[in-house]
Amino acid sequence: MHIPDGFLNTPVTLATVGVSGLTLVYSLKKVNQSIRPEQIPLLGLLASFVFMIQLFSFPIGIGTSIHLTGALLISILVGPLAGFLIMTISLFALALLFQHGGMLSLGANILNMGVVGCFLGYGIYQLIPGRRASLIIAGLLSGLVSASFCALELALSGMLELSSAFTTMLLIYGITGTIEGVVSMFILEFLKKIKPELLESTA
Amino acid sequence: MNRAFIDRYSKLDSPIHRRSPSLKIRGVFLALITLLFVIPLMNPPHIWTGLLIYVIIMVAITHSSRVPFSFLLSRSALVLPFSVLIVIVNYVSGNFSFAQMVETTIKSLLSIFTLLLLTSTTPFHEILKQLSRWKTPKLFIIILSFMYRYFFLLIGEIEALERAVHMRHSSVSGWKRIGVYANMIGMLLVRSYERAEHVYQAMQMRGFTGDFR
Amino acid sequence: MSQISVRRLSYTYSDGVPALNDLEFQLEKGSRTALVGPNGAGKTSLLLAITGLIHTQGEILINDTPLSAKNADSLREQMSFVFQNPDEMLFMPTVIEDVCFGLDTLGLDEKMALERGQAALSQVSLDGYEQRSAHHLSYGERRKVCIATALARRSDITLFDEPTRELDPYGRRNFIKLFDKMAGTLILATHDLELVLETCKQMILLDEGQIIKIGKTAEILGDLQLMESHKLEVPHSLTRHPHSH
Repeated sequence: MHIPDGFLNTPVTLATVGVSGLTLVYSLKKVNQSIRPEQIPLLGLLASFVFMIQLFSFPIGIGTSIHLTGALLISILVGPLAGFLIMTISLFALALLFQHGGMLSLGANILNMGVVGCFLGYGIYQLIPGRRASLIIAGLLSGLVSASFCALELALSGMLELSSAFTTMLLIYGITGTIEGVVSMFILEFLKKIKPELLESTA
Repeated sequence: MNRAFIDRYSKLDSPIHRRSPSLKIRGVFLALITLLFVIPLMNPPHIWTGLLIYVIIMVAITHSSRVPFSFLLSRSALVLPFSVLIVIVNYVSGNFSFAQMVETTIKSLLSIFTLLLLTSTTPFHEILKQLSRWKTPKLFIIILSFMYRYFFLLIGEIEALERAVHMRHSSVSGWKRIGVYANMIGMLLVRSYERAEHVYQAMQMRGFTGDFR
Repeated sequence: MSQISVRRLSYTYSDGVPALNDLEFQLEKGSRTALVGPNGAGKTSLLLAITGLIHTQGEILINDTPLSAKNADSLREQMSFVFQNPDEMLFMPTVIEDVCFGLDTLGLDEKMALERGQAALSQVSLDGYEQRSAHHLSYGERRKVCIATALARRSDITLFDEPTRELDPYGRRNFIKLFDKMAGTLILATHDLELVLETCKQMILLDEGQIIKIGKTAEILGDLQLMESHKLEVPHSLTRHPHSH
């Protein structure tokens, strides 16, 4: 969920900007060290891919559509650090150009979707990689944690009655996260069929 | 899909458009901080005065910029429902007083409007240039630059794919749609990889050796 | 003096399929050569080989210097390559940035690069397009920007891959006019046989990765048997039609 501007107070904003900022600095440093020149356009094109995924809602057939983040998929394709970089850039552009999520709440959104998706989600997947179940569980758990962080940030800012809304949020984002895991699974299987060498050139 | 999201008015000529990107970006940043962190510190009724002054300033700048009000308002309204949802939930659950509900909605609307003013008066590539003048890491700028450039292409491709899918799969219902859409996204991903390879070749042809740090 | 010299050039795709097989030819400085062949003949692979973008076996000499992985970057300074797909060549936010990209590696400072870029845009009749974005341009305009990027480099050697594909007659005619005025050694890979007739006196006929014939354009393209046995046709202007206009 992209938190808009005006819903986070100063301490929460500073804290989330701090955490996301530090993670960004670290990721930039690491990726700069290890990146090969030929990967640079790829990261850019994948960023536009992720940006598009986040902009559109994905129809899930029961008359509704959900929003995917692409964090899990992109981390599997290029590694969590480059993946996090791409997520940050995409979220930044989304906030600036489309006002999906605020500019000052960017720190929180990067934390909730970028850090959680690329590091926690990917980390869970890597426990037993290559399995469909791992993808689904990674999606589910990162959805739940994402929702928890979001709820906490809003509650600490006085913008959420934790007791009433928390369970609903967990439910919604647990389901969204699971679907993200399922969609990532379908996409990875598609890639395996059509262009398996893509999956070898990862990270 | 609304493709004219920023570029439509960013190339106009007005006193605002002519201001330096540096000034505009810093101005907007300052404005947002004032709106979201400083004004709320004021106690009512002063807070309403603060908001009113903010609105007046925004209206004045908009007028000077020649960007149509209707455009800015309608785009702001588009993104507002999300904020409104949170606000309503809070009001219904008793967390917000009526005044808080109004205040939060106004702040939300104004923050979106402010940002829209920035992007409607400053072309994206100028924002990028300014960011790099402020020593933003080059890798960040390059990725952002490619992202912007190829986004429009992807939109066109996904629309074309959607049309192709509808022509052959209009009867696919329910859960199967996930599979169909996943395939579409997968196809776009493969194309992105292939395009990246060719773009790198084009960069090599123009002397790029990877030394951008 | 030969500017490009190729000997025993071979290249196999990563899946083992041979793309180029034992090619040998020489191109003089200032020559204009067309590369013609059916789909899959290896035209693009040959262009990629000459520019050192793929690793091949055999020998390629650029101005008598053997092309290798180590010196490919510096030899490319003398070359420009106009791709088939403009969206693969135009990757910067604005037109002028695309046209000027890499001019610094040719030793130009910012001011000189900008001047070159603007001059190149002028040559393709795109004055005033500097701040436009590639994705807002029409296909024909994007193609012109690609040519402008080559013109700005003032290379000794310029390669074109299907430059008139999907261009309307007006765009195509514009390309021919530009091509006629270009300097240096030019190589043109294309299916547009009429284009070849109009612009290149000599050509290389390629099929299945091998050179079938090198020689004068009109002779090769006018050879019905040769053309048809390599999935091509004799261009209209070389045939004598019974129902003439």
